[in-house]
Order: sequence, then C-alpha cells, then structure tokens
Amino acid sequence: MTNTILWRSAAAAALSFGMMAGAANAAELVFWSMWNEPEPQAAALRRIMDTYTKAHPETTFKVVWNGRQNQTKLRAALQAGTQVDFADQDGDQLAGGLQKEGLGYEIGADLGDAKAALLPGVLDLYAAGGKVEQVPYIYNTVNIWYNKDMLAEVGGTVPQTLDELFTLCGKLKETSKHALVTEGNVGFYQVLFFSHLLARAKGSDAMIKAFEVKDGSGWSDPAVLEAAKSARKFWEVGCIAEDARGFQYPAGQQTIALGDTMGELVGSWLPTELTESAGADFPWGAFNFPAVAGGVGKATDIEVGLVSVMVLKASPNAKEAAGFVSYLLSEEAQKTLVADGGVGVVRDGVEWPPVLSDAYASAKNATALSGFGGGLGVSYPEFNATVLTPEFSKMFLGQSTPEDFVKVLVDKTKDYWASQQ
Amino acid sequence: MVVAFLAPALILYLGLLIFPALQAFYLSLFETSGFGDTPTWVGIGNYTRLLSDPIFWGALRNMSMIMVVGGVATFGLAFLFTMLLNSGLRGKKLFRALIFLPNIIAVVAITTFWSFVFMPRYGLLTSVLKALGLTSLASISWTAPENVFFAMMVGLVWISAGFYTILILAGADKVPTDMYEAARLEGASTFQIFRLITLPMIWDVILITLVLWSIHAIKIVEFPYAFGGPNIDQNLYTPAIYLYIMGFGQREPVYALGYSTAIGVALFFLTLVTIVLLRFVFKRERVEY
Repeated sequence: MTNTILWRSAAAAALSFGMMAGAANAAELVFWSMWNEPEPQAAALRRIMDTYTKAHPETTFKVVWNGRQNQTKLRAALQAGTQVDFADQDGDQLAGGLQKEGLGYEIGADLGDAKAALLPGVLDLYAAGGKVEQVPYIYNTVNIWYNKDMLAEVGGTVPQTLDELFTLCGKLKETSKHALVTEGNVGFYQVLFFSHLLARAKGSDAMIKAFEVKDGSGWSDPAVLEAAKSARKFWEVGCIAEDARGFQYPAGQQTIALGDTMGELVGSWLPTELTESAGADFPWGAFNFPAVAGGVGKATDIEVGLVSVMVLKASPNAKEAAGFVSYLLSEEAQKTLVADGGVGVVRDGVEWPPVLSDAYASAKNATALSGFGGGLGVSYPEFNATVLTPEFSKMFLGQSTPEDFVKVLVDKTKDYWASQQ
Repeated sequence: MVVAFLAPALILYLGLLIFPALQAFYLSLFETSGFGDTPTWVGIGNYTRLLSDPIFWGALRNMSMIMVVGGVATFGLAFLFTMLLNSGLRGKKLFRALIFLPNIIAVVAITTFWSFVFMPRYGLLTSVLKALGLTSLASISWTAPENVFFAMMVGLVWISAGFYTILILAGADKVPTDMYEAARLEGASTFQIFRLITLPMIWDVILITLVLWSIHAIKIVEFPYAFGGPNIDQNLYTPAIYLYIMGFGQREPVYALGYSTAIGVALFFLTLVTIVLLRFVFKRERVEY
C-alpha cells in the first residue's frame, strides 16, 4: 500500500515536472505584421500559423496587424521596450530599417534545406556579407502588365527590344489607344522606366554603381543621359498619353481596366488591385522590360518587390520564431499563401495563381535580381527619396530636361558624399 | 495647499507637454534613426542643414502660399458669406449649416471627391467643360505637377471657408442689431455695413481666426497629403509633410529622426513668430458696444 502511494506520488511529481518543463518550452510568439487583418494575405498567414500550432502545440502566436506602417510603429514599440519576436515588411524597407540598424537575428543556419528550394537570387538579395537577416516569403516581380487582347487586336507581339516597344506604341496610337500609362503622383513607379533603361544598358546594379562614384561622375556616363532621354521618349512618341501627367493613383491604372491603355510598368500586384474594376476574367499578361540596343543588361534581369519576415535579435524566442519562418518557406505554407493570399511566393516549384503565371516565369528565369527602382532605395534611401525619384519625376513629367536631370544627379551625389565625410 | 491642488494638472501638463517638448529640442541636436541606436551629437548641424535644404524651402514656400493666398481666398469667402448671411437673408440657419457641411465630412472623403473633380480625362470638371464646348480648358491636366498645388488649394479653401464663416458669424451675431438697423435707415449698403460696423466690432474675433488659420497653415498635413497621396510628390510638400517623410519611413526607409525633429522645432518657432507678428500688425483699439 505504502509502495503504491509512493509510486503514485512519484508519477504525479514526474508528470507535474514534465508539464512544467513543457510550459517552460512553450512560447507565444509575438508577430507584428504589415498586413491589415481583412486582407487575404493576413488570412493566409493566420491559417499557416494555426497549422503550425497544431503541429507544435507549444508554439502559439499573438499577432498585431499594423498595416503598411508596421516598421515605423515597431520602431516606437522597440524603444518603449515592447517584446516583438518577428515582423514582416517589404524587403527593401526592412533592409534600410531594422536590418541596417543591426536588429535582425542571423537566421541563415536555421533555414536548413529550405534555402536551396527558393527561386534564384531571392535569399541573396538582402544578405549583407553572406548574413541572412530577413527571409522573403512573398514575391512580386516588376514587369509590363498588359491586356493580351489589346495587343492581339493590333497584331502585335511581345516586344523584345525597346525599338519594338516603340513600334507597338505607334500601332496602338493609330487606334487612339496608348501602350502604357503611369501615375503622375507616384514617383517610385515612374522611376522604374529609368532604372530599367539604365539596367538594360549597363547591368542590373548600374544605379548603385553610378551613385557610389563619390565625385558624382558615375552619372556622367553617356548611358545615363541616354536612359533619361529614352524615358522622355515614351511621352514624345505617344506611348503614354499626355494627360497621364495628371493621373493621381489609381487613376492611371484604371485606364487599363477601361480599355484605353494596354499596360503599365509596375509590380505584379496590379491584377489584384484591378480585380474589382477589370473583372476576374481580364486577359492579363506580363513581359519583362525589353532589351536596349548595345546594352550589357539582359531582359531577364528583373526588379522585384519581395515581402520579408525578420526575427528580431533581441527576441527571447528567436529560435522558436526562426523555426516558424523555416516552416513559412515549406511547400505546404507557400501553397497556402498562393491559394488563400492570391500572391506569388518564393519557393521554386510552387505555382503562382494563374493570373500571375507570366510573373512566375519571369521570376523562375531571372538572371539577376535588384530591388525596386534598381535597389538604390535599399542602400541609399534618403538620396533616392529626396533627390533621384523627385528629380526624375520632374524630368519625366516634362518640368526639366534630361540634361538638367543628369546635372542635378552629379551635383547632389557629390554633395551627398561630401556630407558623409 | 495650493500646490497639492495644482499638482495633478501640473504633473500632466509637464509630463505630457513640456517634458516631451524639451526632449524634442534635445533630440533635434542629434543624428539618430530612432531604432535604439546611439544618437550622434551634431549640435546645430540639423538646423544648418535645414537652411541649405531646397526641399525644406520648397515646402516653406508652399506653406506660405497656403497661409497667404489660401488665407486671402478663405477669408474673402468667409467675409462674403458673413456679409450675405447678415444682410437679413431668409433661411440664414439653413445656409449657415450648408456652408459648414464640408467640415463634418472626413478629410479623406473630401479629398477623394476633389481628386475626382480634377481628374484628367474622366473627371467632373473635364466633363463639364467638354459639355460646355470649352475643349481647350477641358484638355488642361489640373492635377499635373504645375497645377496640382492650386487644384489642392481650391479644395482646401472650399472646406476652410465654411469653418471660418461660422467663427466670424458667431462674432457678428453679438453686434447689437440696432446698429445695423440704424445703418440701413441711413442708406448704408451691405458692404458698407460689413466694413464700417461688423468688421470693427468683431476685430478681436478676426484676429483670433487669423491666428487659427496661420497655425493651421503652418502645421497642415492631412489635406495636401490625402489629396496627393499616398505617394505625395514634392509639389505638395509642406514642412509638416516633409517632417513626416524624413522621420517616419513613408515609402522609402528614411528614418532621419533627429533631422525630422529639427523641422518640428523650426515649425514651433515659426508659429510663435507668426502669432506675435499677427498680433502686432493687426492690433487695434478695442471697440466697446
């Protein structure tokens, strides 16, 4: 009897110690997200987290859906000592924010085999000195998104060169339509023309290389002026309608839905943004910005807008959070993002939604990746935001000349580097 | 005893206003991203940088245009409305409500409406001008870079005029009606009554509204930002918008918190100087009635 009581006591003690040990391993991961709760991407993430918790009952999630200003809100929260384990944001923004400040957890070793399963260049894009501190999980490509029927109506084919694109513009103009549109108040959409033209002429890292010549002479390369002039030519030959200068987002892209314009040079989120007005059966297609004559850059070099997740270095649950991030790259989780979130993803072999099939091909065949606008906004955000983008916008919209634009770049680059000394 | 009674309010005031303000002054002397990095002391470096920053000066120019040109238009309309509503018009309360109506609508909704009015090709204004056969006017791109600031200002004046009309009317309603009646019996016109009776009698109200307008113009963010956003171009920058762009990582990861705070401090002093100037320039002998 005494033995039985002893055994039972021992077993109860062992059980309670075991439970305590389990509780000690249990982690509630605090996730601050750039999505708003009603968005499909948020629903997909919620489902992925629920699935993860089912498989790992010790890990639960507390999510704060902050919307696009997530990183800025996170800054204030971190200053106030709030514990956040991981967060997501556009990769470009993370690179210039949390990552630049050294607040990211080095996650490379925790990803294991997942690294090899990703689309080309994805993990390396933001890896500084080989250290992986942010992990892209949603993939947006920058292409010319267009109405396939409108292209067919003028007997056109997907242009492979800039000259072919200008010829196509002429054909569409004869039918009182326009090949392309832009948003007059979105400088970082407009600058895509310049970054692509320069990348096609000089290679995908041309913008950063030009800027990093500290006396400003990097912009004096004739290819820069040529790229600026070619950008203006889109207006001069009627590729873009004159009144597009006044289109305020989303007025420009609406002209595609209305059938007045064939397409827009923009990210692969365009079909999603136009679903309501264009309809689910809109004949979307996408092609890469074409090659320029004599250029060393390939048409398969693409600009991307990746959404990344970052585990914070200060997190007490960094290992557990890294485990979840690793799962986020799994085939199962990535398929959920595609199915529930309607987005492109980073894992090779996971097909994107049908409307994004051209973008998937573009990502799969990419020979080089750079951030939005040639990646200058990642490495030198302030110069990009206060000089390059607004000055290009002025030139692109006809308020200054390509020569003025180049001169400003030369002068301001020189000033920038002088102020850094 | 007095200290004990004052303490709660004083603590709140010092803790929530004075201390953060002083901290902001201090922060403006550093270069920092605000991500917990160690701030670098730059002294008045942020302020000297402001002086040579063309974007800041451009934003100041826009702010001044809003204050002066927008102010003249807003107060011109407000005076006109006051004059008309005080001229013995029937249905004064209804018209007063209608004039104030835009102020009860969210700014984002108002700016969306005005963006639609000025939209090229499909916008309301373009359609009306086309219908009237004014094709050359209809072809103007009202929101193109060279016009967008003034397009924004039209909407801003429209929404502001109602608000300031109500304030001025509240003052005008206090003027004894027998003065108006006497003036009318003497054959004074509506404009003469407004200029020679209403305006002098409510001068202190006018001064307050001018101060309010100036403060509003100096710190304005929401209307131009919502009108030209979410990716606002520099033609619509005001200093307060520039502060936001530089300090809060709007689209690009720009986190120059020290510099951004220096803009805020500069705006604080600008507000003080403007108020003192206004009070000095518009100082009049008080009219008793």
